[in-house]
Amino acid sequence: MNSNIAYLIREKSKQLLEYKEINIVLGYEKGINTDNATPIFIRNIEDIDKLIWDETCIQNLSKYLMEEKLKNEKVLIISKGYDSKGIVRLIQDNQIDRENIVILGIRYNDEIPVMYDFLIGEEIQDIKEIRNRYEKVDEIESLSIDERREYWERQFSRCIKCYACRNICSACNCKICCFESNDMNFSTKKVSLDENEIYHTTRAFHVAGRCTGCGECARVCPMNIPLMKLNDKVRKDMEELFEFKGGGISLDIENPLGTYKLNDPDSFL
Amino acid sequence: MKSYYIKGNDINVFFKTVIESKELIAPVKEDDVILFRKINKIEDIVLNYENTIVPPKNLFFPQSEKLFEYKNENNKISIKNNQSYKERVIFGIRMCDVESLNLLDNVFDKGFNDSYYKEKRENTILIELGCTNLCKKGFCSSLKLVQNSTSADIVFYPVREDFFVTINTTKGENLIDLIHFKESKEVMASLIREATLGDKTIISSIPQELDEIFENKIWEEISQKCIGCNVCTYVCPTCHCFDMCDLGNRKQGERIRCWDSCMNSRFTQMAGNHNPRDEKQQRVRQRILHKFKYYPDEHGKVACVGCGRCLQKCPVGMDILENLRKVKEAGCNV
Repeated sequence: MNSNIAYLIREKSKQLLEYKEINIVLGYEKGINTDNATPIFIRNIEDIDKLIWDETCIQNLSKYLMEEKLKNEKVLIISKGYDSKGIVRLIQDNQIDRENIVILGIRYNDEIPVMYDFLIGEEIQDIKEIRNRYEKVDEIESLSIDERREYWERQFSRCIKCYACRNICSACNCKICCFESNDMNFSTKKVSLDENEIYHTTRAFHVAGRCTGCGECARVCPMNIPLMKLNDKVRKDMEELFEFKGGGISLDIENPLGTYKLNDPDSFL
Repeated sequence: MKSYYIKGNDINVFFKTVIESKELIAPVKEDDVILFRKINKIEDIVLNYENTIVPPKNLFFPQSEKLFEYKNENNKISIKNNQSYKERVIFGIRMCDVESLNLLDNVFDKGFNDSYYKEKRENTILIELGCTNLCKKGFCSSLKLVQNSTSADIVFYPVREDFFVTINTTKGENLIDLIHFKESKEVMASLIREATLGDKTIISSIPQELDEIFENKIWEEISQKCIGCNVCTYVCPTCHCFDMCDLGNRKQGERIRCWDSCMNSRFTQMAGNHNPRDEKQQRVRQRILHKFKYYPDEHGKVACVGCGRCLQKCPVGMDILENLRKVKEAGCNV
């Protein structure tokens, strides 16, 4: 199956490059010394065979579309379900131009791209309802306030402020992050429980309604901070309050926190 | 050089004795992450691990370190520097990281003496835990680091459940003298060295003639996927750039030295917004050249110890070995 997907990716890429529909393919190549496949930017047809597809192609590629150097290029992006949600988010935030992007959607591991120009991959019969998406949040919520504090303090105190979680995140698309702005001066390079905690909680609130749930932040954290528990808590609240099913599902669904409706719940105000 | 053979269970006797008179720092496991921590309970110490994520440079050159406090009372300015270091023992440092401290010594303790770093170095007894396997992503063997030439004060080589212990310094000997272990006449080190090190590619500095690839399209190629986070520099045992933060106001405050990262675009941003390393490729080039060109030019060795942390932890799989290979290849084709 994987080799078949890889074949189709290469064929499509080759065809589009040949017809000059695109000038860059953004996909995966095999890592030489790394466990996972690694992103590759292909401009020449001779390099097409470097493109691969297997279970190690896990990285979400959507954030690369924001690269200054890709802004005026026509890019073919290999896109799993969550990558496509990331793309929707970036379009909704006016960060990228849909016109410049060709999306090659891959159906894989029950993930179905929400937006695509071409679709390949596994036949998915019926989508299983995921039993409880917020199981991990429920676990935390069952703890006492003191236990929760202890848990999160232990997690946040490990943070080394590498900002990998922010840089990989398609919902984190500010040009200058407030945590690194010289002008705002409310955060420094100091690591301390206070500063780390402010960073992570602010980020979780800031991506509320925009987080697609791709889990990249938790995957890239070198210190194993379970960041998705934090994001899922916010996602769960968004679902309960606004019946919002997560960021990036469709271009037509707006972020409830970015819009106003008369019947918006306001019990938390 | 004295050697001892310590039975597996006796290592706890050793820890207990150390803890009575000194601060003991050793690896512990917290939420599946191996970290160096000050030990209060010896049960917390773990012995079966590859290496810590955050390198031990953090214990000598902390990620955030208060340099001094200041106070202004009625225009009388006072500066307080509470530097005082208890003698401490770091147990469980790996061979690669011992070497990384030697490299950092060149920066913090040669020519200019950084008192904050130096005092911590002088007040620390380093105990290496010998590697019985090559780490999954380590490439120390390519750097020809050799376990039995380590500069740690003491080395514990695991031998099944027990330890073969060698003492390299008087500091180490004084510590071991606290406990009455039986001296051993055996020599084990070379045996373990064979088992541990296997050769892969040889890592070496970028030769002089490669100066001309400073402007080369290879840098753009290898840097494309970098997301500009600080992971590689912060988990690197030899990266040592820092920034100063002044926290406080007119009346009082403190100056803190914090790790900084050349992978961050703001690292070189200047007043007036000029940035000499505005582009990603310039930053990736800087890190590679610093490790394999500038540092070797200055100190005669590459600033990489092959721990493999950057390789293992890079979110997008930037591969230092592969990148170095590509850069050298580009240099050959100029």
